[in-house]
Amino acid sequence: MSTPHPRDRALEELLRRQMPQASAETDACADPETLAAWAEGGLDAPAMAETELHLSNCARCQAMLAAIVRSEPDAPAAEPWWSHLRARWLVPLTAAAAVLWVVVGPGARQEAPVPGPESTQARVERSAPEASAPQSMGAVTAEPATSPTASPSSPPARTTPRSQAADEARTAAPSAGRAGAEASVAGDRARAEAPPGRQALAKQEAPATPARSNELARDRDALEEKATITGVSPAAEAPQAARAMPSPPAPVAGSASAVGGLADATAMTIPSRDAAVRWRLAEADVRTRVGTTAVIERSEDAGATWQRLNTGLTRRFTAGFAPSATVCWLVGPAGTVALTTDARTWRQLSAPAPDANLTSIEASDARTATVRDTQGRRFRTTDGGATWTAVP
Amino acid sequence: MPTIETTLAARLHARAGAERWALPVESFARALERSAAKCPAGADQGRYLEGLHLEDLALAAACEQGLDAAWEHFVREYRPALYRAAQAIVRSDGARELADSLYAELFGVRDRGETRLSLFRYFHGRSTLATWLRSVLAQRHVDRVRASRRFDPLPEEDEPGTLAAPASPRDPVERPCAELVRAALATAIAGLAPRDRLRVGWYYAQQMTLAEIGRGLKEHEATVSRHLNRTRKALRAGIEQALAAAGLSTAAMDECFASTMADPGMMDLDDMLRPDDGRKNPALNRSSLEGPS
Repeated sequence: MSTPHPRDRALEELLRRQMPQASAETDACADPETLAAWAEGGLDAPAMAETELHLSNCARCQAMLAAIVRSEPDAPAAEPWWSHLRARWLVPLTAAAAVLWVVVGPGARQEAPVPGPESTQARVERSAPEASAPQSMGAVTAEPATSPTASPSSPPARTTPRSQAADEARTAAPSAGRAGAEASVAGDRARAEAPPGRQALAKQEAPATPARSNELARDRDALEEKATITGVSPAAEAPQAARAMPSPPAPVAGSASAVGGLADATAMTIPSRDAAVRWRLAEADVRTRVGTTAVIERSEDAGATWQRLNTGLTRRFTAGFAPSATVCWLVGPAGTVALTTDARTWRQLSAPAPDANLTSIEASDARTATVRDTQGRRFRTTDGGATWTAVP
Repeated sequence: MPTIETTLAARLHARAGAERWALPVESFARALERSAAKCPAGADQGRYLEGLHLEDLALAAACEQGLDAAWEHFVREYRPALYRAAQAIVRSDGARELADSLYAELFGVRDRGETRLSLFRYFHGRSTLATWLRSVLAQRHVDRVRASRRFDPLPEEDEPGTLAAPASPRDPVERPCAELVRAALATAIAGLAPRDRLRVGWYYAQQMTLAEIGRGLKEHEATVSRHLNRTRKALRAGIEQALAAAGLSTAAMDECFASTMADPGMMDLDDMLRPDDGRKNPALNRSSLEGPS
C-alpha cells in the first residue's frame, strides 16, 4: 500500500474540476457505427488506432463511448474462471496447498511448471463474509452503497485506486462523489462514516488467463494499493422495459437528421427575478443573452461588448431553446412564445393557450417545438408556432 | 454502379438469412454497396463484406424498407433493449423521450418528396445492431447535454445592459504558479500516449469507474488502476520538471500545487485534450469568465 504523494491530490483536483464532459462535434468525430465497432473491437488495426487517437483527444466521443459502455445490457466485470464455481472459497485453499506442495513437497525439487491461473490465487484474501460472494473478481466486499443519496438508478459504486483523492466519496456516495470539490467533502464524510469493513484491504488477482500472467502480476501490485474494493451494483432495470410496446410512432417531420450531423439543440431555463441568461451560438464569437424582462442583447466579439436588440418584445420570458445556431424559441407566462430564425429579429407567436404559463420548451428546428406549462400541460407546434395542439 | 457481384450478394443474402424478412436480394445488395463504401482503402472488399454482421445488416435493411416481419422482430427483440439502454444512459425522465425520438427516426420520417427515410440506412453492419443502437442513443444524449451546458446563467443581481464585459485574461505575473502548473499540465497531457490520455479523459471527465473503463478497453480494472496511477505520476513529473525549469524550489513547487488546488481557475481541459488544434497553451489565452462550451 503506498501513500499518495501530496501533490497528486492537487493534480487530481485540478483534473477533476476542469475536465470537460463533452465538447463540440468536429469533422474528425467518429460516426456512431465506428464507435460501436471500436467498442466491439471490430475495426482493423489501423482504424482502431486512428479511432483511439481521436477518442483520446475528443471529449464528445469519450462521452459517447462512456454512455455506450454504461448501457451495456449485462455490463459484466472481468471475472476469473473460478468465480463461477459454487465453492469458490476452495480456490485459495487449493492454491495455497498447491504452493505449499511446490515449496515443501516433492515438487520443490522438480522443474517448476509454467505458472497457470491457479498459481496466482494463493494470495486471494477474503475480507467479507461469503454472503457477499456473488460478485466479480474485483468485488470481494460487496457492501451496498451507504449514502442516503444513492438511488436504484445511481451509477455503480466506483472502484478506484487508493491513491486517488476522494475515492471513497465515489464509493460510498456515488451521486455526490462526482462533483469535483464536493467529492472531497463527501469523501471525507464517507471515510468518517464508513464501517470498518470498508476500510479493509482486499487483495485480489486479475482474471487468470495464462496469456496475461505478466499483467496479472502487475495488477496484483496495483490492487495491493487499494484500500477498498466494492462490488458493482447491478444497474436498475428501466421501468419502461415492463411497459407494453406501442406501435411505431408517427414520423416526426424535420427530425430526420444524419447520424453524424445532429441538430445542435440547446435548452435553457431563465432564473427567477430579472436575472439574465446568455448562450453561445455556433459562431465562435457570437453570444446572445436574454433577460426575463424581454431584453435581448447580442455580442459579436465574444462578450466584450453588447448591443441591445430592438426586438419589439414586451413580455417576460421563463425559458428558451435554441435548436440551431440561429434559431431560438423563448416562452413565458400567459402563453408567451417568441421565435428568432436569424438570432437577430424576433417575433411574437400565437399562444398555445391564453392561460398557459409556460415554463419549458424543447424544439427540433424553427417549425417544431413542444412547450410545457405550470399545470403540466404540453402543446406542440409543427408549423413554426402558427398553430398548437395539446399533447396528451 | 454496382461493384458487388450478384453471386456474392446472393451468397451473403443467404448467409444473412435475409429471406426470413422477405428482403429481396437487390435490396440487400444495395445495403452491401453502402457498407462497402466504408471498406478501408486497400482492404479486400470481399473479406470486408464477409466480416460484416450480415444478419443484423439484413434486419436493418428490411426494417428500412418497412417489411412487417422485420419490424415485428425488431420491436420484439430490440425495442425493450433500446429503452433499457436509454434509461441507463439518461437516468432521468428524459430516457423515454430519448428512446421514443430515436425509435421514430428508425421507423422513418418523410422528406419533402414523401420518401420515407429511416435511420437504419446509416447502419452498415460494421458493428452489431444492438451496439449501434446504443451508440446512436449515446450520441443523441451527449449532444443534448453538451448543448444544454452552453447556457451560462448569470448571477441574479445582474441584468442585461448592466453586465460588465469579461475581464481581461489573468495577468501571468499575478498568479504565475497556477498558470505555470496549468500550462505544464497541458503540455504533459498532450505528450501522453493516446490510450493513457483516453483513460484520463474517461476517468476524470466522464467519471467512469475503473470497471467501466476496463470494459471499454477490454482491460481488467486493476490494469486500468495501474495505468492511471502511472499516468498521474507522469503528469506530476512533467509539471515538476516545468516548475523546476522555471526556477522554483521544492518548497515553491509545493506552494504552487497548493495554490492550484485552492483555485484551479478556469482552465479548460477540452483544449488540452485537443493538442493539435494550434492552441498549445490555452490556459493562458482564455478569458477568466469564459466557461467551457
